[in-house]
Amino acid sequence: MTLRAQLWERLASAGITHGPLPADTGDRSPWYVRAMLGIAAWLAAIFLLVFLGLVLSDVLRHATAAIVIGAVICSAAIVMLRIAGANIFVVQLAVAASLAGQGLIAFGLLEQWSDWLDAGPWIAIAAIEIVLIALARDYLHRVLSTLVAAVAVCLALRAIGWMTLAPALLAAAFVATQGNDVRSLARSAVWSPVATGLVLAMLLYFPFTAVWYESGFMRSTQIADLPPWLGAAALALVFVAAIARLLADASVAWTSRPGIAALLAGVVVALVAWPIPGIIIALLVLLLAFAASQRVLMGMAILALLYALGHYYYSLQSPLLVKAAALFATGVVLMGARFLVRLVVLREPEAGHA
Amino acid sequence: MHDARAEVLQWVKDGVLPRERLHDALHTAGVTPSAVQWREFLERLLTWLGAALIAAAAVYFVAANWQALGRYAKFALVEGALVVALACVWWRGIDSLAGRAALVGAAILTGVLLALVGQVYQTGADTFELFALWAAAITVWVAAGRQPALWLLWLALLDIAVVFYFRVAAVSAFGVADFLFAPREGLWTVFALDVAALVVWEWLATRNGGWLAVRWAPRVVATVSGAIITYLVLDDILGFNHRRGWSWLPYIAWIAALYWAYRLRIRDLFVLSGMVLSVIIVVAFALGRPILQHADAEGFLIVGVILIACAAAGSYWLRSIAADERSSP
Repeated sequence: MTLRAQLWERLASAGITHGPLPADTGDRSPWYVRAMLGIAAWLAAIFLLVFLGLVLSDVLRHATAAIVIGAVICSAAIVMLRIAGANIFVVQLAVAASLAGQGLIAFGLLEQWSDWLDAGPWIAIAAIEIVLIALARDYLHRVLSTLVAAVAVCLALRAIGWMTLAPALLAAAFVATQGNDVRSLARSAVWSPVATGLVLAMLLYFPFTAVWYESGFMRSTQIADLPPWLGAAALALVFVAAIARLLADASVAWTSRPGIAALLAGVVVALVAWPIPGIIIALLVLLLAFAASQRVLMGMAILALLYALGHYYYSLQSPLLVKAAALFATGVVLMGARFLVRLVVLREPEAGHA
Repeated sequence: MHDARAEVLQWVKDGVLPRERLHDALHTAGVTPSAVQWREFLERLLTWLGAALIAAAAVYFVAANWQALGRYAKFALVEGALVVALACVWWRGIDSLAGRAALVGAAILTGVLLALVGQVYQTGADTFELFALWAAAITVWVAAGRQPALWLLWLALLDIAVVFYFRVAAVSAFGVADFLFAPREGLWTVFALDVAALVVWEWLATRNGGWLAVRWAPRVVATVSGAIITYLVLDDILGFNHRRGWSWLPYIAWIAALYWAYRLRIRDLFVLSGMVLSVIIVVAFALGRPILQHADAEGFLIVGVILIACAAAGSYWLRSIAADERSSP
């Protein structure tokens, strides 16, 4: 008996499903097949974009023309995705064409504004990507559009000096995608790729900002930046809110002993680990992904965690000795939280999921 | 790989599972974790993360080279932490969660101690010697620990030692890419080392199973090996080195070996997906290079379409294997 049949039988014996095992429908390719397709689509899109650039070089001197041609290509790609069905070649062609179209639109918008450091073009790009997420019915396309939208939002925030809020904003958006109500779960075809795209964006945020700072690109705005502590505080708030949300989903009262312990642990971890935001983000993703049994996101969170540890070494915000102290304190707090978990859950084994 | 969450959600979408029973279905399918699963997960997460942060703190501390602390105090701190970690292994048992985390911590602290020796006594040792000595020093623990993570750490130390050795030994041969990454000889050696480790791992896993049966560790080694040989072939295609051409032969042999091992012998879709991606990238660069030289617009379109066709064919092949897996008991 297949695992699928076993699952159906288990649900049937619990009185949840009835009748024979339904036919296998839908695309449930493993994540690594989708990742392979995503990279291949990017690669193909680069060639298509260069082709368009060479063929339409005269037309593309005008920013508006680039935007219009890009929009036409994206619209055609959306139609192709809606009628392609299971035709893998057409789907892959549509995704690559759409990426090339998005490239043209982005080029046109940035040319139109004539200043890449303005928030305007990036907000417009993010808005277009959100429309594409809604209209283009393909998992991979939605992941890539979310990733581009997230990058565009980060660059818009940088333009207005609010870059420090970017990790908290991405984390909050991720928490919002993890809705546990029936309606959100039933719309997982949209929220699942969006969540993956957001985690990818959070995973790439720190390496990319490090490169941007190194290259001087991040320092080029004239607007005064928000103080970094504001970003750390916002991220801490999102982290604690995520824990509160997990407790609510598991029907554990915030005022119960496990509820208070979990919230308190969340506050302490957020306070101690504030110099290492990558760790807070990775922890947040790990907890929410575990609650939803999303192993791929958990794997991505572990990667983010390892990167955060490595990246922190090279960040110039504080001396190595202070960093060592921050890491040690966070490690000790986490070990302490472990004993708290044992103590609280052993004492109240009936107290739900916290 | 079976994804119960995706399956349940698909049934709701298809209308064969009532929406109002979705939460019950997720509980029954084991998708929504129980209180016991939460406790186990949190204990594991907090133990491993806590141990990793404390070990990282030791690395940072030694790297800071704090002058206010004398050499003996530094040694006492690192050696004290090492003793505490080993005592934890002994106290909680080498197979317990705390024992396993402590053993990994001890393995990392050994490297910190070796680095401290080099820092305090200015031994003048090359970097590759540090990593090679580190790998040698923890070999017994790695063998006794029977943990995939420890074996990967050990292999990574050997790989780094090899790369640094060739950097030192082949300075005169540095090209552009060699300067950025590592000399080709070093990468070929690392590739050979990792392939040997992969073969031994898979052979032992097939024979003995047990802790060796985990798939993530051989997948990491296969990914690293594949990335290295793909880079070496791209290096040939782009012409960064002057002795180009011959890496095609081992590359084709590598692809054939992967097909034989992971399609015909053991079925591993992850490794096969990596293999398809590697082939697509190599095809893109092999076809793209002459086209780039001529800047021919139609050429770019043809290569783009060929890439899409390759990806679609690869995806079709991988999905048919995945469908086979789903329908097999």
